[in-house]
Amino acid sequence: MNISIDFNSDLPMYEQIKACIKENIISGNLSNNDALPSVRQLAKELNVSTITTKRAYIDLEHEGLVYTVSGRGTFVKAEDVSKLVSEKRRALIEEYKEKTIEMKTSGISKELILKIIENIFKQ
Amino acid sequence: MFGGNRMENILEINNLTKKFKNFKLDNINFSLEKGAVMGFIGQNGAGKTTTIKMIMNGNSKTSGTIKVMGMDNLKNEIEVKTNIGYVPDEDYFMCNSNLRRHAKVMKLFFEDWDEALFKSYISKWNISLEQRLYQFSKGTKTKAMLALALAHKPKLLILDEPTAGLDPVARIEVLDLLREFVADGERSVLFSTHITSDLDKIADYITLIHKGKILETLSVDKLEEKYIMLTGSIEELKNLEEQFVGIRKGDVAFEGLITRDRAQKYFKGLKGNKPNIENLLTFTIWGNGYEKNMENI
Repeated sequence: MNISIDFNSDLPMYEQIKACIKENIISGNLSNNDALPSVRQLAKELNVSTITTKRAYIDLEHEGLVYTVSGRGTFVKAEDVSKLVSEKRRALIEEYKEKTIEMKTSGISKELILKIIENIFKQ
Repeated sequence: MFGGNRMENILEINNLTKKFKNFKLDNINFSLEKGAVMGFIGQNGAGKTTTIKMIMNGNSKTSGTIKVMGMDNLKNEIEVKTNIGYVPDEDYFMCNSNLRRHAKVMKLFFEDWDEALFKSYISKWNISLEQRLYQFSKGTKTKAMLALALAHKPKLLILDEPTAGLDPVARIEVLDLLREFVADGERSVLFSTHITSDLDKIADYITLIHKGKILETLSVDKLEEKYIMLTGSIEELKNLEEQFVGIRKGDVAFEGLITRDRAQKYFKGLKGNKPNIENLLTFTIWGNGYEKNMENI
């Protein structure tokens, strides 16, 4: 599992942890019924408070992406990743729109932007 | 607390008031659940040590209640004290004595004294049992007091500025030790400090005291969920500074703590950072002049 935290981000740390775990599920790094580290272990390794990792797991549980077995730990529940994939795609499109507006504002022409995209798809 | 779970509190302070000649602890309320670390922050003279001493029953109170594991700290003084491990900001050692003799006295007071546990800390931190205590550095004294406090197996550890005299390596060791202490979910730590970066690493809850009053008590996930730090130019501020919890303005730029709701409403497009505990402390205190603003949040 890959988890990294950007301490200078505007996102709360528990949101960053959630996003990392979702990313691991999408990429297949985490599969259905895989065990997640305990909240205390993960907090120690990331050097954050336990309530931060606890909050991330509780939110993920509410979103139906993990389940907890009392006394045994927390596990991935990802029978269907299509929802996660479309959530990620929506986020990427939003980011793309924002960047395009920034490029437009800074005077980059539509032709150049389209050319960049075409070149990327040619590769 | 999230998820609607009611958790058991190890410490509960209700309407605690204490009047002094020139200072008043004014209606202090906060609680600490099992298995959690709480950072207790505020400026010098804000009332941190006074509050801690009241929990330890060293100061009599004017009104209010303090409960430790559900027990009143005056009515059940002995049980309460047995369950608290206390490390004060200034050491209590008789400096001509040594640690062996101090441990011997502690053994008499505390039934649950664990000699093997005590020895394990002493050897882990390389502390001499025989050396006279006045020869100890501040860091070694703190570690020695921690070892004595932990060896009688308390449920609540109260630390007043424990990491202040420690070098960075020793500080990280102490933080790891506190993590271990609360790991079974049954024990808690109340931790007063000026080194807020230590709290960023381990505190689950933050309680901020200012001029004898509690300004804020919240969990760190709520801190990050509720607030954001914004920076920008004075033009971008658009004279909306009363929307901030606290703000620092220069001639060209500003920096301020604001709720995410208000940032979204008034400063859409302005880049922000998640707040850390130092931001909460400094900007809440700077903004404390805007009384009406604080109440609206």
